Amino acid sequence: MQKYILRRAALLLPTLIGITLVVFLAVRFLPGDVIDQMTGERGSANPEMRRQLEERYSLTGSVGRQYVEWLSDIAAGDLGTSITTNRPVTTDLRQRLPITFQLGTMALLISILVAIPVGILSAVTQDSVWDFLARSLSIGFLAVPSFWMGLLVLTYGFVWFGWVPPLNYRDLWEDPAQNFQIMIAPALILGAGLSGTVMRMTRSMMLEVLRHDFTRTARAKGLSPRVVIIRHALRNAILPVMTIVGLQVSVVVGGTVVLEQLFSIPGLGSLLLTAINTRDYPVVQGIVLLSAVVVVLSNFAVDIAYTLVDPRVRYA
Amino acid sequence: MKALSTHVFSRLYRIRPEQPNASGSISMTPEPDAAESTEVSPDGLTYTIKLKANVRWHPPVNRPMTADDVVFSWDRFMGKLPGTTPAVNSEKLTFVKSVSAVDERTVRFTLTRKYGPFFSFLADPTTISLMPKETGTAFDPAKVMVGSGPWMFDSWEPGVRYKFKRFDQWHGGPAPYFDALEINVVPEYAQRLNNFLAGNLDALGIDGLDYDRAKKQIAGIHAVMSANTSTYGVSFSHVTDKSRPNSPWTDVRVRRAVSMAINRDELYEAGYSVSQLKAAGLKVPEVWGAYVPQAFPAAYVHPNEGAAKQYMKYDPTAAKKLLDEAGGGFKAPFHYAPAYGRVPTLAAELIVQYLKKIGIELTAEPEDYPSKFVPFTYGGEFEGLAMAGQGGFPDPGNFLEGFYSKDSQRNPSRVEDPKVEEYVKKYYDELDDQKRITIIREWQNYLYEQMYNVPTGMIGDSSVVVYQPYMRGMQDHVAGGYGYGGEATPYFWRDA
Amino acid sequence: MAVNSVTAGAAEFVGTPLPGRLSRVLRFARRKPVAAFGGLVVILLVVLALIAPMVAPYAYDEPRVLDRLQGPSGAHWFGTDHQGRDVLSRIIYGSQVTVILCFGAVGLSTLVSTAIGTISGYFGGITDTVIQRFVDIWQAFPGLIFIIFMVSVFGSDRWSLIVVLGLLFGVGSSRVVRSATLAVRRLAYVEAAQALGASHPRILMAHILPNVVPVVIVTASVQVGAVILAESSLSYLGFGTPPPFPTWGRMLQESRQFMQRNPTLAVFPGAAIALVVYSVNMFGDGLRDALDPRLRGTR
Repeated sequence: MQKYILRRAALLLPTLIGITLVVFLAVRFLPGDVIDQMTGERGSANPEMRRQLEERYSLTGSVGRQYVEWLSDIAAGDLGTSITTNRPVTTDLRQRLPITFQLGTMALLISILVAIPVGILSAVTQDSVWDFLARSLSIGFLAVPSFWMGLLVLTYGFVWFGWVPPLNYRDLWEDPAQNFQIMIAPALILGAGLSGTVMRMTRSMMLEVLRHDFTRTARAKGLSPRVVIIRHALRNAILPVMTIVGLQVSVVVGGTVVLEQLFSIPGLGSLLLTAINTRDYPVVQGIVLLSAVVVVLSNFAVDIAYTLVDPRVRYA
Repeated sequence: MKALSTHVFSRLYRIRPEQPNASGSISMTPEPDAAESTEVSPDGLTYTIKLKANVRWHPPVNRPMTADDVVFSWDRFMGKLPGTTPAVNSEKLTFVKSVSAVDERTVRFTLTRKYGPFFSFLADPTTISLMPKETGTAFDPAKVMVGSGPWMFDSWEPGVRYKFKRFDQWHGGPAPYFDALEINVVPEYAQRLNNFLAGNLDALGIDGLDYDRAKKQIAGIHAVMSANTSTYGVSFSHVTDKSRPNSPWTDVRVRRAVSMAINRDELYEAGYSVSQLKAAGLKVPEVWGAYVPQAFPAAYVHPNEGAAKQYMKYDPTAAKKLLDEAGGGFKAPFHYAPAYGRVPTLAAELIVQYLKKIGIELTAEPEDYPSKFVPFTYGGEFEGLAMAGQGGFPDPGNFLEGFYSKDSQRNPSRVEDPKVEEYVKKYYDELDDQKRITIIREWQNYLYEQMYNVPTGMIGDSSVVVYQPYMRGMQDHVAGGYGYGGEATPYFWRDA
Repeated sequence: MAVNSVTAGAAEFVGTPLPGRLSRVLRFARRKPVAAFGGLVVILLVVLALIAPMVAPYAYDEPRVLDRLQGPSGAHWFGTDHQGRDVLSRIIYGSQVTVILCFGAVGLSTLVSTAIGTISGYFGGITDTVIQRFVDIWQAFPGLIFIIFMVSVFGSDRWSLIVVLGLLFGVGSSRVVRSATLAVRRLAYVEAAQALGASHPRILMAHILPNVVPVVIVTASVQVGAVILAESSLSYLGFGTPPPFPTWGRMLQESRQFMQRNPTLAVFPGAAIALVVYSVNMFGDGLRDALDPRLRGTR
């Protein structure tokens, strides 16, 4: 087991290096460069100005050298300096990440809380009206664009209930009530969207497990259906479901971009859009890199959890 | 940043905060800010400016402003100090030969040639904002913004909000009357509107369609029409270069046809909901942005006057006829920048549809603003047509010089016309304000004939700003357009 | 022997006479009515896109600003938008973009995922390891962030959207194809074919490919929904296709400002998106149940 974990961890390294390479090169293919942005309407007119700025933001020298320098800075925990604010990128990320993290966690939790019971219900009552309704609902949530749902909530929440999510973001620890007011609607919308995928996975895994011999045996022994489902079937179905939940992390990170924009939440997603629009490429790099690393690590964690829980699993 | 700099930084002159006139325009008149008085030499080449005694820098600098600070700010702006780079607009300032300190409180500007609207030039926040000498050595101004304006910079979160605190030793005191100013960036309109209606925001640029509802929901709401300080027009690539192939628009008839195919009344209705505003009882100006924004009522030639009358009128049949005489329809790309905001983008889409009706098939090309649109349009490097805007200049001449003079860095149609150059020289050499106005009116009439750039009538994103009932002071102190918020906000106050 | 039985099986599928196929479709419809309904919606959508200019009551680009933001009426069944254009006509024309994007992107995605998945799974060893590391890197970037980034580099016209979405989904779903390939590769008849000296391309085409087709079809049906949603999210964030040609996502995005004034403006394109995404997903679900031999017996 330890050997497996070590091997799996060793595989992380090339992936992470690949990610840094992609992030580094991709930003250099952005349309127009940061110098154009900073010098505005007359940038092209003054090569001297351009040269000075390039020097200041270390855009000179060979691409290879730039990459190595950049990588060693990252290793030292330095993601560069934002071009618009002149603050270290890590400062901004440290401020914004917890907000997005909270939103994503809430959404994932909501999706699990909805999806697993509904998925079980759907599987147990396969092809019945309940099954149909549950599946329709979950696919329905998948089928509705999240920004549209959010707009409906914003518009009619106010028209019907006079409800407005406050503009001033407060930390969870600082002002839980206000934090909750801001976060709950986007978390519900994002969670509802995610629950579709999780629910379908739960359903098909449950169906499969329910046909296995051991569940039949359990039922034959006269155990109540509830005990069979929870103790035997669910325990065996939960692993693949958790894998799907782990894979959802990537979807969550993308989904927060839209919802943060909609609900004015100052998280990583809104920072990303601002940074793309102002061509603040150190910030763009930082966010894309961070989100990719989060996804890789969460997949890694799911894999490890998988092996720890189910010793049968051995990957090549 | 540009939009917010006037809150923190003083200039030598500023735009006089004043109420819009009956037709909704503000005459953008310069008045002293940090300056107390100015003496102009008879040849118009030397300006000796006396500073106010009570202008102080914000903490941590905390001392009176001196002439050395002004010289420092100038040198820094022009990139003359070690480690500094020339600022964006510095190329257009070559007519200033030198800036020197005469004594503690007196600065002298020496020019190489006469420059009529010199005070407007000093009031442009993109030319010179005053910074303390310490800026160059003691700290990084991008981290700590220290000025001498009404508001002190507090904090800034990109894409979220800007915060300012009241500066209690401002030379324009006792204002500001509010203790703090917060500018929130809220990307979603529904979220902005609801927060205003719920009382969480004091002011909001609102869509005309929602004004009626806001008025019903909040009794005593104040509405202020946005001032018209910008112009958006359709530019044609290399418009005066007859040698280029596939450029039917080098024929003036084609450009006139384009102008007559655009339904400006509809554009204005779609963008600013004029009929709703009128129905809700607001006094709506018939704002037609033209070559000069309506914010300069004296200089502005209304599209219904003189030469403009014929070619600014919506008449698709006549437009089609004119186009057919000139060789008929054509296909071309149409570049525009969604970064201009919702309304100008909407206008671009409508223009594509209008021109299709007379046989001009445009393909809409939304461009990224900094990387593509700016070099494309302002540099005149695009092919086909483009919608280019300009705004916020404190003098009407800037608009005409910028878009039509061959020496300008911001001439999207690459106009090269000796007649225009004559106007440029005549205008800037004229020191008499009244005579300059006569020249610029004649100049506009000439442009209406030529249609190097077809005015759309768009003025920007929002037509009306609403304020909560308890807000006071807006009616007497409103200035519009980008970069000029600092003249108005100190004078707002809250009714108990 | 094994070789024969499987080739025969594939031949049977291709060569089934028409009445036999029809009866299969009918049987599918009877057992999976919702999935069959989903399939029907997809077919109707394609037909609608083809005959759009014939059925749309108005042009998609004819503004009449004075008639803007009207609710549904006899003249405009779905009302008019913020420029006074007919919403129904715009939805009908919008189906063209939906169909082009979905076919293009999902088609490309299927090619990419099948190529990567089968090659990686069939050859195994170092080839597999190297390819999978690239897939790892690719998958590490969250989808929407990847798309925003690519679209800001390559522009947002239809063709770049097709390429970006096709690559994104293609590489992402290659894992599923790879697992299916792995399962097939270990079967006796593939080993037999190798022993008989069949070339790699031949084995891939004749033995591996037919067996991963069900997986590919099911994945593709789910991706259709994902493409439609991605287009609408991009439109919302300001990275959509250029106007004035309508897309459903763009129509939703344009309706935001007028939601309170004319709520139906957002309802119709939203409903169109939801209906199609729901349909393809239900269809895909049914297809999976029907094609997955392990589940076949449970109905």
